[in-house]
Amino acid sequence: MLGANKEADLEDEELEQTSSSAAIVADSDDLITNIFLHLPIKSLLRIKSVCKRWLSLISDPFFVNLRNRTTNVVSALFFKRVHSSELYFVFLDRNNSNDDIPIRDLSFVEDSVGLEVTHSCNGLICCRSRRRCTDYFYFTYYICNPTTKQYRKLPPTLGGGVVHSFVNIAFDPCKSPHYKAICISSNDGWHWQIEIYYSEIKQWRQICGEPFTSLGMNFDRGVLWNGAMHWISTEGSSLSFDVERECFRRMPSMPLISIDREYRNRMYLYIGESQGHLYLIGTDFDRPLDEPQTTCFHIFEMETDYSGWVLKYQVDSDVPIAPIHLDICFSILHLVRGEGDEEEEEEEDLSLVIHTVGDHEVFSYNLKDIALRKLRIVPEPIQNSRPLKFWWSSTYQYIESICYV
Amino acid sequence: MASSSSSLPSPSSSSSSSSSKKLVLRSSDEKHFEVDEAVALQSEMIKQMVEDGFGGDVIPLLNVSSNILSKVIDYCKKHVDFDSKKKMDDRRRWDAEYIDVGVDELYHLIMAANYRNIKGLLDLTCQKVADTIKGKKPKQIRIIFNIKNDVTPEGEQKIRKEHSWAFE
Repeated sequence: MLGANKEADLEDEELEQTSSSAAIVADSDDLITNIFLHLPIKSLLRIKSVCKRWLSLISDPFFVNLRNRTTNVVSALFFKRVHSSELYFVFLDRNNSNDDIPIRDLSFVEDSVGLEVTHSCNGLICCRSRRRCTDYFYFTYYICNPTTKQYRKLPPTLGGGVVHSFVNIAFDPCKSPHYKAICISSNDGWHWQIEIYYSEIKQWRQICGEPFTSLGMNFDRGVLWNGAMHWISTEGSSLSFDVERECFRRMPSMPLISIDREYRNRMYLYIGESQGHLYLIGTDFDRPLDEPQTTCFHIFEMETDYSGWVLKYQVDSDVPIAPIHLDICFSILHLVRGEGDEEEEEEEDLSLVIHTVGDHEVFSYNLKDIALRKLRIVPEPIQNSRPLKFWWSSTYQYIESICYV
Repeated sequence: MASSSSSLPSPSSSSSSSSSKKLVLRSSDEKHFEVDEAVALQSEMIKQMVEDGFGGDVIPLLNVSSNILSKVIDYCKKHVDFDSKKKMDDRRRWDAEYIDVGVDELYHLIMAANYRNIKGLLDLTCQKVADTIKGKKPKQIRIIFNIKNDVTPEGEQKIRKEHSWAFE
């Protein structure tokens, strides 16, 4: 089969020769699996056609799980521009010189109406389309894996047509290969009902009990941490829903940012998880968020036992993001905790991902080193085109994963 | 951000073992290597043997030749040092130079790291192989590992169709 043009195929790189020791390594399921675990997904799917044994090793649910557990890192953030189907990616890893974005748009999902992304969780994303019928909307939800481009259309929710509906994915590959989709819906924006879709049985179930009441909660921005989904409102309320036991958990009250100021001046900008820690960012801005302001905010972390929020960092205006531009308004898109040693507790290695709104730029700002680093946006935005406006509420996480939908 | 705590390598942190204790390892070609216990214990397999009471004797490593064993010991020595200092960048640089070896040696290191159960070295060597086969075509990979192609053209077509984007 190898034929005469064997030489031409081999770009004579050092390892491209048969060696008996390579064959021994390849013969061991353990060792070859270990090598597979270090490959990017694209290569992993390509090498399925090397031989039947490799195909079955790579397709094995055991391997899929192992792979999802070992490399569960947010490699990029992505955004969808309003009135455009194009997606923008911002790569967080400084070593990533790869222009290869996993998806350009959502066209791999077949839907005739037009899709929007609504949530992301550990490698899976949720998209939806909606159809209007009198005063109600009928939403069609899809759970997709943007890495493998596989997707599943969820059956209609039991509640039928509603006015407001949000679906959050609860997926933790370290705990289970299955996911739950939590749908929160309401007709008046005040009384809410929960339904849960179980990927294992492919069905929705209504969670019993009276509807709960809540106002202004960002139900599209659920954060999975410690087995529960967490939501906040910018004004300072919060909710925690235990995904396994399917009930609400008590959440400590949101931290006061400055006691002498009035309630209305507090603003919560971000809640998110990184390396197993739950973070909250708040500010006491006087001005509305879409106007230029100083860079003063507070970063809190939740205690693992839910005993309260602890202030971790206070970023004052004398630690400015001035190297960017002073008079521009910015949005906090993401907070990353470094992978450093747990023992070096005193100063955590935290980086903020900041977007200068209206500008074509995204930065990573390391709070420990006070270092600012420009991040690449792919595809590169065309200069002089309509300015980019990315907000936390429409930022999704990309984690390379081969998990099944 | 000066830290006041000195970073002298601390004597072994665990309770009873003394830091100067030596162990003797024997390679498959009957050569003997005397190493510090801390260095040898980087290997989970040797750790287990010491716990099982092998500590006083020569530890035979039947599958590892002397040249590979000395290379593995280099790795363990250096990483005992790194563990007490925690310098990520230095470690990466040293690892990159260390792993710049020939094909045969690389695969022997994988087997030795696996047999002696040294996780860091196993990850390092497997990453190196993964980097090498990353961009390769299945055909090229079959040559590297001497694998017979038993996938039918239809089977291959099916895989390509299922993941067409990965083959672009």
